[in-house]
Amino acid sequence: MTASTPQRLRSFVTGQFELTRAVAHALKARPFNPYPYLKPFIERASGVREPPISATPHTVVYTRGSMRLLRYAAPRRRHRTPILFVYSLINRWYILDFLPGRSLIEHLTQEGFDVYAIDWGVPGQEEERLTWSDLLGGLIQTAVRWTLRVSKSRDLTLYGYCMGGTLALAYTSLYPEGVRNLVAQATPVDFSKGGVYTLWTAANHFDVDSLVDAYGNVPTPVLESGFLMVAPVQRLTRWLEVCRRIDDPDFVSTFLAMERWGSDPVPFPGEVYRQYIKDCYQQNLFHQGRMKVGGENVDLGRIQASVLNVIAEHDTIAFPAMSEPLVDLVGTKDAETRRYPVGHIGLSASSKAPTHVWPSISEWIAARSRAMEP
Amino acid sequence: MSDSDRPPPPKGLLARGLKLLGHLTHPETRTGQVFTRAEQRLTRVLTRVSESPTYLRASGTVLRQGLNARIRRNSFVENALHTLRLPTTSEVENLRDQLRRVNDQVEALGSQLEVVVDLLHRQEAADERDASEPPPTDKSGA
Repeated sequence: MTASTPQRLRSFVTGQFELTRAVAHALKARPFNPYPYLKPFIERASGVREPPISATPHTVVYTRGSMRLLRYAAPRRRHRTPILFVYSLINRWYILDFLPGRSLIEHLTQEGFDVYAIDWGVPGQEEERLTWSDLLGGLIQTAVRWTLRVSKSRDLTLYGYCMGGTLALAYTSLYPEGVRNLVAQATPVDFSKGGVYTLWTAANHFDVDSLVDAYGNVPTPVLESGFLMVAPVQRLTRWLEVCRRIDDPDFVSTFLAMERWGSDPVPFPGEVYRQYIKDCYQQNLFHQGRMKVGGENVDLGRIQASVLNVIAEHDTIAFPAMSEPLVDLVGTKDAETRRYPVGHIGLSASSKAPTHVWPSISEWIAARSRAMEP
Repeated sequence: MSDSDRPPPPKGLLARGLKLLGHLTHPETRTGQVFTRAEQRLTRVLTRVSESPTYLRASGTVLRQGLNARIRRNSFVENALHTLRLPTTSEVENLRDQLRRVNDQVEALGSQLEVVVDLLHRQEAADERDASEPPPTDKSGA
């Protein structure tokens, strides 16, 4: 049925109004990321709306400050050992549950794992004074305890991603109880190999103390500007691909979901950032086993849990050279590196991941997890 | 008329314009090749600039001065507002943040109560089982 002329006119006017309002809203917030400015045009032209965040059913198990512990229960649980995701403090956890049919968390729940994920939330004033010690011995340890309690298990698989991997390694070094397996995905370990990020954060021109003292938590525009400077032109020109494929709803939907996630950074807790930049990027103490948390050295040699080091060969954020030394640093003999021909985000959201990456990782975890009792 | 015979849905002016833009910048077209070359050249220049010691030194100095000015301004504004007994912007934001967190905590408390009730049920069931079992007989007769 074709619409009448007044209806089409009304639809046109309404559409223009919505478009103008969306762009005006974006201009008011003035983010660096092009997503809020360009999204209304793509949505209007394609008729596709951005998909919902973290569509796999989940419940909130525990909260503390801005942190939430989420549970993604398996439809048919086969493994007693649950998986706890520790995500980076830079972006949001929901890239792990990207889209239905293209979600690492959904894949693992379908493989029979009881999955938990830490959502760090949006750090506020309370998180400004949060330290590495509070983070590891407070938040992550409590998340581990609640995961074990709710899943009725004695031990778990800790799964860290990006900086979350660094946190998971530091946690396991200091609090090894209950950690049966550790997956470190795209995890920086040797920060001297961080390329442009190591250069930009060098102590002689990056004053991290002034930044934290001025803002408390590191504001998102500062973090965004860093990522923008890595590939400023490509940040814009990749939108041309979606213009070419504007009549492919699946492509548009995936593109919008990815860009939405990329444009959703959160402030970085100030004191954690200060120590992260100084001890990791500026002095590389983490790699040398000399980073101190709560008065104790973070010594990866103390890790006895089975370790899987997952490397993305085309990673331009945590370069492969940053992750490669891990297996030689941990104390366990059951340590292995697996490499995949994808990028940093591709490990969790690329079209290759469900067939080339996740089955291999879940098979490694399953072989080292306790099965459900009959 | 079958589905395959139907013409594709009419596209709006915006969709056609975006598609044309995408086509003109596609590396297989002549305009696209020019665009790609310009893009690569600009990327090389920006990379060289962002890694040059002069740029890093200059941007570091500007950032440091800006941050120090901000620290001084924040301190002045907060002191002035406190003198007038008015809440600062950060205090209002903090209050909003706390309200949002209360909402999350209520949801989590529900889940935690379920765990506690589950543990209590198991304990009760174990107690009932113990009570229904006959006490062990003393075979020595003492």
